[in-house]
Amino acid sequence: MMNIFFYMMVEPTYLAVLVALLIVLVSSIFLFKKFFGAKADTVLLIGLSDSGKTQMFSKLINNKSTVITYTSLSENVYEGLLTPSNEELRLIDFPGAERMRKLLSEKWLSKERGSLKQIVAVIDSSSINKRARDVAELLYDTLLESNKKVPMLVACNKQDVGLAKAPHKEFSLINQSRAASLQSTDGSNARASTLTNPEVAFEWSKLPVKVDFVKCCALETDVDDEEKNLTGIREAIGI
Amino acid sequence: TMIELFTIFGKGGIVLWCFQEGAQLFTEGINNLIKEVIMQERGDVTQFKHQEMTIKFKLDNEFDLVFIVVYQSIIQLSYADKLISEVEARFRDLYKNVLENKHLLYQKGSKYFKGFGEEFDKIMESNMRSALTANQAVRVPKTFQESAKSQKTIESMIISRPGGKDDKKKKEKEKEAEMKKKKNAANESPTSAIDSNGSDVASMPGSPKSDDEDMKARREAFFSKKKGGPPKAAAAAADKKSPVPEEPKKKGKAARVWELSGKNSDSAVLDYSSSKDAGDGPTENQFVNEQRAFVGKSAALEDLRHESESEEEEEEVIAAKAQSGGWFSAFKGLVGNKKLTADDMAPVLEKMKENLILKNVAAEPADQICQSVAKKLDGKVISTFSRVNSEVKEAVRESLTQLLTPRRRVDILRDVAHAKSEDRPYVIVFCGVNGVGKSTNLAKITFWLNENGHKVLIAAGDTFRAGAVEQLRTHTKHLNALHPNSVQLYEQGYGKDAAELAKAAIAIAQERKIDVVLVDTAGRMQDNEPLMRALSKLIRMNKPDLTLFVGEALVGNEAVDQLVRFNQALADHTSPGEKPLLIDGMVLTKFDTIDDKVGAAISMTYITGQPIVFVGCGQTYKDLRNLNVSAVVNAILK
Repeated sequence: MMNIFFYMMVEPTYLAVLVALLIVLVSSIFLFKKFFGAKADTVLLIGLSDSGKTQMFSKLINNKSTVITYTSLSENVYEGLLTPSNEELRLIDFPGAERMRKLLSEKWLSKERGSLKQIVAVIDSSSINKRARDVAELLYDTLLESNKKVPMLVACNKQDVGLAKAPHKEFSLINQSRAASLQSTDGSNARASTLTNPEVAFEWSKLPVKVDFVKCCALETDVDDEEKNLTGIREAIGI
Repeated sequence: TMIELFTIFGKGGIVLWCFQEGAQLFTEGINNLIKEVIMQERGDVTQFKHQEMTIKFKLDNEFDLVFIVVYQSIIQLSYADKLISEVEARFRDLYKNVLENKHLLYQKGSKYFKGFGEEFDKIMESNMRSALTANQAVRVPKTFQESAKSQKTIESMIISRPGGKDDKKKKEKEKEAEMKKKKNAANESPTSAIDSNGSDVASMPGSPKSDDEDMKARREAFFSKKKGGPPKAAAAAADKKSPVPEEPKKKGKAARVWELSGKNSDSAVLDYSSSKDAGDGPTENQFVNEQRAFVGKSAALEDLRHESESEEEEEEVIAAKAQSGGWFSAFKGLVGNKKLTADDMAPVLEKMKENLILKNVAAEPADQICQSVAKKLDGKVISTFSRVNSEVKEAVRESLTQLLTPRRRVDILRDVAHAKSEDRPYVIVFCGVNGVGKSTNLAKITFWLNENGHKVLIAAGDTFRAGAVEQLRTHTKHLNALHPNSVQLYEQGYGKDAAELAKAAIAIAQERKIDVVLVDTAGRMQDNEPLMRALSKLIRMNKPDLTLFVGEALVGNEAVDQLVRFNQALADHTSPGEKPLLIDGMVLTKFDTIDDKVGAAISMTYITGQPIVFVGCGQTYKDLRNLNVSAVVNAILK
């Protein structure tokens, strides 16, 4: 042992090699952690404009809060949402404006996808009736762009779960309208790909990722009411 | 009090504190303001009209706050800007600590700010008092009209921005005002929503107005003018007609005095193609054969890719970001922070504006985008480590991306399927100025629809330009050679009323169960009043699912004028009470000829607020693309 040390003293190249090795080791650990060890601790709220995301965001942070909200210009980020086991979660309320859609897919659904634990899609009763196609496209694109890797919870605000599951018909249609392109272009440059096999009618169960539905009512405050205090959502995201 | 609502909320949309006079929160108006002004990058707009209310806003970028005051438009609230600034200053002073702690802010929210009411009352009172004394001082010697005028100048003085551009701007404004005066001349009515304040959305001639609200207001103004004032010589005929919009035929026809264009009997002479058609010349066969190569391969529109150079750059940016997230942030903390000020940004923004214009963005959108970015960044805290330059560039990148991202869903194939389920054809109307490639791109879109298995009926609504119908006939023949029995042409020759023609075409399509009707229209210059009237009649009568404006990618500053006038014409001729049917998408043609000068895409989306649905980039039927937003943004910022 002493010998080696002695050797290193007199032979500086050894020292250099050792230091170099050490640096490589440390940096590779760092990089490894960065790319593979990213903690999936983020809950992302999405939905069309005016579907009550910000309302739900506030309520998940503070059950008693009732806030007045306007259209969000930028995302709300809350760090340190505590789970029963004292883990910290990050809650994000992403604006519903279509103009921000590109940012959503570029930032959260691709670059930061690794950090996503759960996507909560908020659907409002008014929007499901009038804007069924828009809702369906948002859900479809979100599932597709997140590479079917992040579990999704569809939070049905003020409405029946049955209605919200209805987009599966829409999904079949989107599958078809996008598949039309797949058949003709070779897979490599196909911009539009589909969620499931377009030739079979779409069903939620066919997705490789978990999609759940839960009923809630974010607008009204009642600590004892299961729908109004968002119990289902809390359970799903684990707080 | 004088104001209806004063509200302070975070950019995330959560209200921190608000003062309200009545029960209303003006949610709809404020949401519209956010979506149509702030998110639309309307740089120099500081106020917004919603119904009878005026909404003024200010962004605080250091704490990410929005300050909004709402008051009745009939009250000339001269101190609104002053009020907002004073409230902002006081609010920041008092709650600095709370505002810095986002965690607490989200947890407790409005509880912290309950005490602000008193402070607000004080500020409000002092403002009212000083306004009152100022008013009294003025009012004694002057009549009401004069005092109103003086108020206006004060307002415009407050709003005019510091910097060297002021003089130029003032001149521009004066010019605009002059033009407006000429235009409105005798028939300026007192109820008109237009005032000469340059910063008002409703009052900028030739400025972008996409929002429906605004359109409505202007339309009302237009109608009230029509009813009110004595008609001008030029518009006299038009005005007389307008109460009976059912029969403006004569007017439309009267304008067309071209030889060889009006009558059916002319079509024989005009039909140059017939001699060639008969023999199906070798060149034609060749064309069809060349196109055949694309059959079955073009159902998907490729994204428009820009040269790899820009992509590399993008990757670099991402890499740089990733790095800064890790080790860099530790250093950043040590180095400390600085606040961005308008002075810091001015030279950078000036350069950015030049760059935008160099890339063929029209002057006005370029200016407004830069102003909007300045507003967004002013007061933002950045680390001393990052450069103003890159900070501005990032903000512009974000703004441009946001602008080019459609604000509504665009999926024609999906909507065609929906129309089919309702047993009706999906109708698209193409409009635009002459020679931009309407018919050519209509043919390309037909090919794309055929590729996706939809049958198409083309309505030859250009009954004006010699050869237009023949051109479509040729295209139909080619397209049918590629996809047998998938395209039909509906024509009535020349000189017919395009609106009636389109109506008949849609009826036939419904009967024959054809999926899509594409209506070609005559190219028209935006200042040709009778033709614009005819177009709006066509659209009003047939209520298409989609009205596409076809424009050249080469277009520079004229893009603004063209789109504004087209949209305005469509809005003006809508019957009152109805929702105006405006342009709701664009086709950008000749994209292959512009290299990296892709600015027209920005100008057009900026003005209409509508998406670019297709991009044409070549001569063959498959040369139709989707707009690749990030490629365009990269090309512009290169």
